[in-house]
Amino acid sequence: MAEYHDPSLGGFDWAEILTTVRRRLSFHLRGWESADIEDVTQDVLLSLVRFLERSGAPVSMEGLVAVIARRAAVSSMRTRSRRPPTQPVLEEHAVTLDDSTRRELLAIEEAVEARAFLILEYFRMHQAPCVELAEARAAGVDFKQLAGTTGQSHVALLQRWSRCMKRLRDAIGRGEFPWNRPGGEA
Amino acid sequence: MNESYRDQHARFPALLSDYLLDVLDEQQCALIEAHARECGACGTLLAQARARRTDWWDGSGHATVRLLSAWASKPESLAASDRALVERHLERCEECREDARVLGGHAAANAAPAREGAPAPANHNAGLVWAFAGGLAAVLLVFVFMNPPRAPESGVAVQPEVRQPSESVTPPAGAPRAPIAQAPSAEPVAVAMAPVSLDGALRGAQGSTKAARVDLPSGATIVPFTLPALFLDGSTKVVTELRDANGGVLWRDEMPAASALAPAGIRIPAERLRAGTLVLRVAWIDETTGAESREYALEVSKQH
Repeated sequence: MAEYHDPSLGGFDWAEILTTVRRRLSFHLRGWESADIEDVTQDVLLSLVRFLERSGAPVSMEGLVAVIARRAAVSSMRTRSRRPPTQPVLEEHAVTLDDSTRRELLAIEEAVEARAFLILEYFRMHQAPCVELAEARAAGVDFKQLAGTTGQSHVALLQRWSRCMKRLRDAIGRGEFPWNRPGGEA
Repeated sequence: MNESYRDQHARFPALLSDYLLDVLDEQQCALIEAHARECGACGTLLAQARARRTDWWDGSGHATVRLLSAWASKPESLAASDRALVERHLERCEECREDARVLGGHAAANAAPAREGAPAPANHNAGLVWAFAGGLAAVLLVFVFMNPPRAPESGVAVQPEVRQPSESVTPPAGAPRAPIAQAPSAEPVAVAMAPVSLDGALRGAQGSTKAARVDLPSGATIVPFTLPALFLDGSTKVVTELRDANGGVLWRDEMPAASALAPAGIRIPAERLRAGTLVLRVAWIDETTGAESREYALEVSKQH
């Protein structure tokens, strides 16, 4: 585990937090290799550090650990389930990520989560025809599958998605949408 | 676009999230991809992002932890529009409601929009007020008509095997209520107590540094407690025990974690509490680590 010297991170028993995170992830990711659990553990710890650096101490550290660990576990399970079983692991991907790379990727992940949340809520409020498509994508259903289950044309769905994104860009351009203010990046 | 390499490099991380979600138009996408080919660091970042997830939309759509945490603990720190955004989302999203409850150490639970499709409160404070008023009304109804207070049996400890199921406190839905005429009219009106929060009262190996204060008003029949957040499966059985300073069991109950972790989820008959220092022990079985427990110190005083 990396050592952090930021004074804002003092006051917490990181050894106990590490133990709690490992225990929670072992519970959520039952049957996983310990190295894989350790990988997710590092992500959870860095997410905690990022949270504390940006938002300060939470109301409940135990609650924060629980929520971040659960979300990380769900995300890891989802990612693993989407990987084709025959897909080989490329060498560059098998290399253990260092902390700075992890931090960069976590920052991207947080930005994506915040953006996707805003987009979905914007569609719900202003672009009802786009909600079905955004919800399908958020649920991991691609448009081909959606076309099959709803009896719509795959091409029509792709075109509709393209129009939805254009409307979103227009709304951002007109400043109708809180795209770049703090709440949007929360 | 006449953007320099340096500008593109500076904007790359910020634009990457938009790129991964298909928000950028074709021209912007082409610029991002061109820069990723030119710049080793940005190219690597893009490759690692693609390797991390094949579809970045997959699993998205929930409020972020920071936003939920801010809403649950300091809603006034959020802009009104962000607060409304979160509350609209919580009306639909059970998962985020649960996360907000855990993040807020239960503080958010009363304010969270109602579940099972019930209309959400108009605002954060109104939710709290209505939830509290509802709780008071329910407690009064239940204890005036269903559970007339019994005389305290001082010094009598409840045996561990004696269960006082929580279900006895609240009648099941649709159950016939006792006719008003049967209510003991001579009994004093029960006094409802505000829930006692156990946040910060955790009792460690060296003993508690801060006990939760319980000022028992005269006429109170039930003392409700709100546990700090514990991440448990809702169906896990939780055993709660009230013990005196010598370890004697004064009261014991067993209930699903979902009930125990609800605000005011632990409800102890007032007659079981003694003035002085008591311990509330909460125990459960964790699937990975086996038996686990927490102990909370209580400093009880009775008003006369």
